[in-house]
Amino acid sequence: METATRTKLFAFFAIAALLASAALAHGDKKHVIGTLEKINADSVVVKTAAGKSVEVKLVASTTYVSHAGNEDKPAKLSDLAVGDRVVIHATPKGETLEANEVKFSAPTSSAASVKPKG
Amino acid sequence: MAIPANASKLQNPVAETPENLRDARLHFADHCAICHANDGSGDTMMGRNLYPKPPDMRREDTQELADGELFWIIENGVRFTGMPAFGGAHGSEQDSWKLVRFIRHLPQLSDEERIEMERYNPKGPGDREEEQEENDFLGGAPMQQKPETTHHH
Repeated sequence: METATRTKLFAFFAIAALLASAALAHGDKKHVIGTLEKINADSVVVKTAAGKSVEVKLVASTTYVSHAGNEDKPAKLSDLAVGDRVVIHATPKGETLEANEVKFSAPTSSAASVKPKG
Repeated sequence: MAIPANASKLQNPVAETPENLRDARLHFADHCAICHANDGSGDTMMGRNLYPKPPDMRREDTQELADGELFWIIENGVRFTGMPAFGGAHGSEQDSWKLVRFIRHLPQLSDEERIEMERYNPKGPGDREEEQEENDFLGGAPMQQKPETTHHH
């Protein structure tokens, strides 16, 4: 293969690789993990392990999955309750996060059995 | 697309049975969903970044194609796009015809079916480990403080 042809081929693949990596960098999704602190009509607030409150928007395409035992089942927004453990896969949209999937489970029995004193 | 005119005359030899639909659904989850998404919307990291983007297969553009045309596309691919040819040495015609049945079913895909498909989506070791950690957390394991995670899907 001639040097000029090889150089052109190398340049083509280098540009293609650069374009591909730029495109992949825009495909990020965030995982928000914690307990449900607040449920609004169009968003939820999650308290993370770091103690941060993170708001995630709920949209028409958001899907809800309940996790119990080792099984996942379809669910709906009205099944969510404050205190549930959640794993939310969300897409950043500007300054906000939009939920693609909200997977949740009821608080564990040991945590749920802790009753306020008095 | 350059689909031969006679492709539209082909009849699907695979019956629409629950078993065939499930075979196709899991095959789709394993081999196609990385670009097309389990629900056929094309809303995946790969799908969003392909040029041209894969179509939303639930919509008319795809659903109005004849069974034989869908089969032809699966077998031969679509030139100048990210859609490769899966025919010949890569797979059996039977599997492609089953996929045609599943594509017809996409507009009615249930949440139960979608959740089942998620278990069959290809995942790397990192993704599997993370999924396990998330399921452990949902199962009651203590919450671990980790830096905020960002992932390619």
